[in-house]
Amino acid sequence: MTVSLGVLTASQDRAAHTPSDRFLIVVSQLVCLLAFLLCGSRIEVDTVCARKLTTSASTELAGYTDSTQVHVASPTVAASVTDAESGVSISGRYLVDVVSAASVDIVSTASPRWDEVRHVGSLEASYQRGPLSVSGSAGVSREPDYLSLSAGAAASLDLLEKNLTPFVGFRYGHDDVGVKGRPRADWELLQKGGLQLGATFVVNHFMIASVQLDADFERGYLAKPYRYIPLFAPGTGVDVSVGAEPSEVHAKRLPERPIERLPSERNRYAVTGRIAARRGPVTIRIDERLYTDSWGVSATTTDARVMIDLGSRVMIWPHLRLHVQSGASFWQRAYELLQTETGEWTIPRYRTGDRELSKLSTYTGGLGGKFRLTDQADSAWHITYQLEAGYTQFFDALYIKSRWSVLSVLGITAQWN
Amino acid sequence: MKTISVLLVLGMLCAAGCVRVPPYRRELLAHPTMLLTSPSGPAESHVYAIQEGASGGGQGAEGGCGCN
Repeated sequence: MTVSLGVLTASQDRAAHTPSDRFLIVVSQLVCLLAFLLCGSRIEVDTVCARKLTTSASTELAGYTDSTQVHVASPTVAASVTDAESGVSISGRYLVDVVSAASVDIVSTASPRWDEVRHVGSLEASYQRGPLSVSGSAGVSREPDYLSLSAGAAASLDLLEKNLTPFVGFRYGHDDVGVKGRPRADWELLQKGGLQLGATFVVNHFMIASVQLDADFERGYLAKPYRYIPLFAPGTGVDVSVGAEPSEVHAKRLPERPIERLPSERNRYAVTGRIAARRGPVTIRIDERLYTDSWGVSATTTDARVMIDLGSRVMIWPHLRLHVQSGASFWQRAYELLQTETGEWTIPRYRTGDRELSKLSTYTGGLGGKFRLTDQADSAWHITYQLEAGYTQFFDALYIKSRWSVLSVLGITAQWN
Repeated sequence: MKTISVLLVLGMLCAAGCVRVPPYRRELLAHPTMLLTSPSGPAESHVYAIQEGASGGGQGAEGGCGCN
């Protein structure tokens, strides 16, 4: 909660500070919060030193590539310290995304090929006392043209001898959206607030389930500042085919090329059900998410994993995921000039080239594996590898009909007691 | 939406109220794979966040996308 108030203060002081100052203010507030949490549990921690702590450190290297010439390399390091006796746990993560993109729709409607580096850092602290658990988290994500600060808090309560655990969470995000080469004072603001409510419950001695409701509210600049939209003469948009090549689009479009414009408010709601069941060495996990938002996008996402223990050292998990969504209410494959009541011609109020706002379906399948390297009782080293392939079908977009993607993730985790 | 939510919560409470599994019968439930947190790692979650026009169902707070 303190974190959220800190970020809000930074937001209110926006006019008096540069974005860099605000960034430093918020980071210092997050450090103060962490120090506060540590001081607040100082007695516990001092005692903990004589107790057994569980410390873990991990590193992960992910590589992503797809058929639209987007390539991402993403190394991550993470660490956590947990004391089960006092209930205190602190963790942190740092991630870098190195993105190289030359997607046909980006090149055609936005900027030429671009390379970018994104830095992401996050901290989380949690405390459990009796049946009550509370946690706080904060994150920073920074790119040359984007700065995102976020914070959240959550609480859960064990009831009915831990057969029912309701939980509630809040999150807040403060994003500055910019364009390379433009002064920071011209950057746009996007604020995000979210509420999470749900419960985990025991179904029987081998099955557990949960239901979660998410409501997220976004206010501010939600468009992409680099994206320009091709316009067509009235009545000619239908002639532009699905997946039309850039040459066809350029031949048929008007000279005007307005920048993308989206509503400044978006309310998003999701209901997620999860179920996990274990029989012998096999755990089956199924997640289902139903989603709708105020822009008219509705979606269903089904995610299934089967985790199989192959002996005491090896676990593998085949994975399938299906995502199907409708398009936003203002989505058009080809935007046409509109005529007003006075007979003047105007461009559509909302226009977008974001194909993730169009009707699409994505099929993902993969296989992961985890191998325990050591046998010591007080330490464990694991190596994990995951390979996922995805296929997306765009039913109503320009430039593209489908996309193949591959994600490869290699990780090493060490844990000491 | 509201009706579905209420029904889900009521069903969940009924299910939890009808069945109580004592601690000594929770060996399978205590297995690490039975945690109902998101099984996706940071990279996998990020790919879904970019490729899908929907959100929700995850935990924590993180912003930015590298896709401006």
